[in-house]
Amino acid sequence: MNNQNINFTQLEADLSAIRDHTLQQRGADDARYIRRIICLQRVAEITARVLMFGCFFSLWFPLAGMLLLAFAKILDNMEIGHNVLHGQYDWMNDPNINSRTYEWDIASDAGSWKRIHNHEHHTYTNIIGKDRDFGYGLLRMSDDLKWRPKNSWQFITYLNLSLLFEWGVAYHELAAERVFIGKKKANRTSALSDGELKRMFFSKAGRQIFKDYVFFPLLAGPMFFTVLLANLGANLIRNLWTSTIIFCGHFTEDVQTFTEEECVNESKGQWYHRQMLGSSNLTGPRWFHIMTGHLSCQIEHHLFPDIPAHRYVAMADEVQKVAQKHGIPYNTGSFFRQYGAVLKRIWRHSWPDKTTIKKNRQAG
Amino acid sequence: MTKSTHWFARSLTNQSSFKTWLEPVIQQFRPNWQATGYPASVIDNRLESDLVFSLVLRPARSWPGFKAGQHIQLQVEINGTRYQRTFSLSTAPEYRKQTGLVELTIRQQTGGLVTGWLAEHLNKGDQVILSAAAGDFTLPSTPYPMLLIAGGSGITPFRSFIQQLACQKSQRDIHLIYYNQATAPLFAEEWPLMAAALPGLKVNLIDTAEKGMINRKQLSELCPDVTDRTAWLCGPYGLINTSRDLLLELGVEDSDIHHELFGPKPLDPTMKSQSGTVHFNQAGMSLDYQGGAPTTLLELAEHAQLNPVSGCRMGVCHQCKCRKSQGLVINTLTGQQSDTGAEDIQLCVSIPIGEVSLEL
Repeated sequence: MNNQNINFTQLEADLSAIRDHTLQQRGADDARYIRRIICLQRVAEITARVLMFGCFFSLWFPLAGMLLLAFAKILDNMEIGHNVLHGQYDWMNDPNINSRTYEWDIASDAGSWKRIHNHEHHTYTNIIGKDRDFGYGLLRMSDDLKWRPKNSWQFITYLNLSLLFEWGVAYHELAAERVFIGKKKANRTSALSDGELKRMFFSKAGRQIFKDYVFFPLLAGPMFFTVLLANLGANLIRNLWTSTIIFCGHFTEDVQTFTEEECVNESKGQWYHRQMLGSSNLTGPRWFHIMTGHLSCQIEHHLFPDIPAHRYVAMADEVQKVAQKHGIPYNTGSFFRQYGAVLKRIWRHSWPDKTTIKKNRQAG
Repeated sequence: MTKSTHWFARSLTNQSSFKTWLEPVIQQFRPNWQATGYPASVIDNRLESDLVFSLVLRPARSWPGFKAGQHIQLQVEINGTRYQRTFSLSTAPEYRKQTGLVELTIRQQTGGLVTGWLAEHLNKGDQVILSAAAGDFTLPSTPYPMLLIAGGSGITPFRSFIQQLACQKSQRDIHLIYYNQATAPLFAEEWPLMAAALPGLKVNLIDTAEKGMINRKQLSELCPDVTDRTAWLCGPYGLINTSRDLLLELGVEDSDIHHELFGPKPLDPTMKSQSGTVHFNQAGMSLDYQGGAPTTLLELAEHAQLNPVSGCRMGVCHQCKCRKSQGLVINTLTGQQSDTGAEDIQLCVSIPIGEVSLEL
């Protein structure tokens, strides 16, 4: 991290000013916005489920239903679930739109996700060894990680992860290798027993499977498999979309990583700085931002994780000005440019870097 | 809801019920509809004195009704945030039967966000949400003689009692002593009418600026047969506490004294704790707090910008209930110290002692 020339006290003051200014505007408009998005999601989901029963007339109906259901699931997971679970709407004091009670239409149970994602990933963003979301323990996304032979086929691993993303996340947030296999890190303690974690995992996963692969297909009677496949398709489309967007937020070419030593006794200004270097944005029209749950403004999300996300787009201009003023890189670009950079990064780190080869030779 | 329908709703919607899942959709057509709670329309917002006003409301027919003396949670949305406050109904159930209306009589709290807003912004035609009525401070059906002691806006449940008895043309022996400090008594013009309608009703209106706070001499002079009555106390903490001690001294049985506290019990400054730390486990945050003036866990959580769900902020509605995984807290309502282990606590009436971990 090059922090010679940055005045961190000023950086903190500048970003906090943006935060305070936005918080002053927060109010009835935000409540109306999120309720309208939830309404749209509910109507889309109901319409999609009903459309699928048109399979008795034509296979075009379940196809349209599948696409609409994927849309509904994406809205539920990204713009509603992710943001509500971050506590962005807790100030509304609405018992149903609240990080404490909201549950989303995805395999991972909201409680486990909040524990790992909100805490580990958002506090220790891109610190190798602390942020388990960095590569999800499957992919080598930085030279800071030792190359292993399994990394040579990590491009295929990545495609599989994308397709099965909801299960990857559920397994990952559960810290499943710890719970199921018994791998334990000496310094990691948990308030919850392995048994409780397992129960939460299976109870949520069971309900999800019941809904998409048992209940609605059974309602279709003889067309059981058509509806099952349409639901499966909707889940896979959602998985691909969420995984792609999330990878664009942290794994584009220029996103930086950090070591634990660098971040000891970090000030708030330095924390802000790290969040800006560790994230990247996507540009696009308003509907695109909504479909990404405003993770297209990943930088703003990491700076201000609990501000209603639909305000990030307006904040981005201000944040970019602050970045410019302090000479901090602000990583943004179109979806295709950024996604290309992600694929390049996965490919590049599939192979050992030169310094590692040298070290290995010396050691050998 | 049975366990299996609950599981079914949860499986299909991921929310606690189909109603809550659909709430934002229904609200697009009926903005005031809510899965829980009952809509009510404002008929009038009437000034009773400088700081006290009455809301005249027409609750939806589905509202289950109430017993004289009970309270409700009134919910309003102010700039996107829902607030709930507890108020006693100041009219009788019989009155609702005849007119369909209920009244809440509310004192504007100095520095209070909600009561000031209600006074200023609620007008005829506006909509609010009511909870079902609750509370055990209700008019008993057995016709014992009663002594009612009220202070300030603590008169509201007694207005409900007396109005109900007037509607029933009751002969019951009721003695009301109503204390006010430097303000005119509420419903001043109603009391003579009530006393005329109810042969058993005796009313003493007392200005404490003139006659002093409640004391033993005054009480035994005003009400010599106090031991023959059941006593009902409603008002601020000081009045309830003093009256209760006096009544016990005068020989009234503890079981014959009923009370309803208006306003939160003041935090006891002797509960002063040493400084400590609160850990918010879900948020992965910790907050150090200083000794000195006691602070509730709700205030601490809000200070940490966690915005937990909260309601009445006085230990009534149980909405801010939260799992404490470990540590000691004092419940300011009961004055009791908690267990050190895991249990559910009400954040708004709990003060931490030393180190406390919460599932927030």
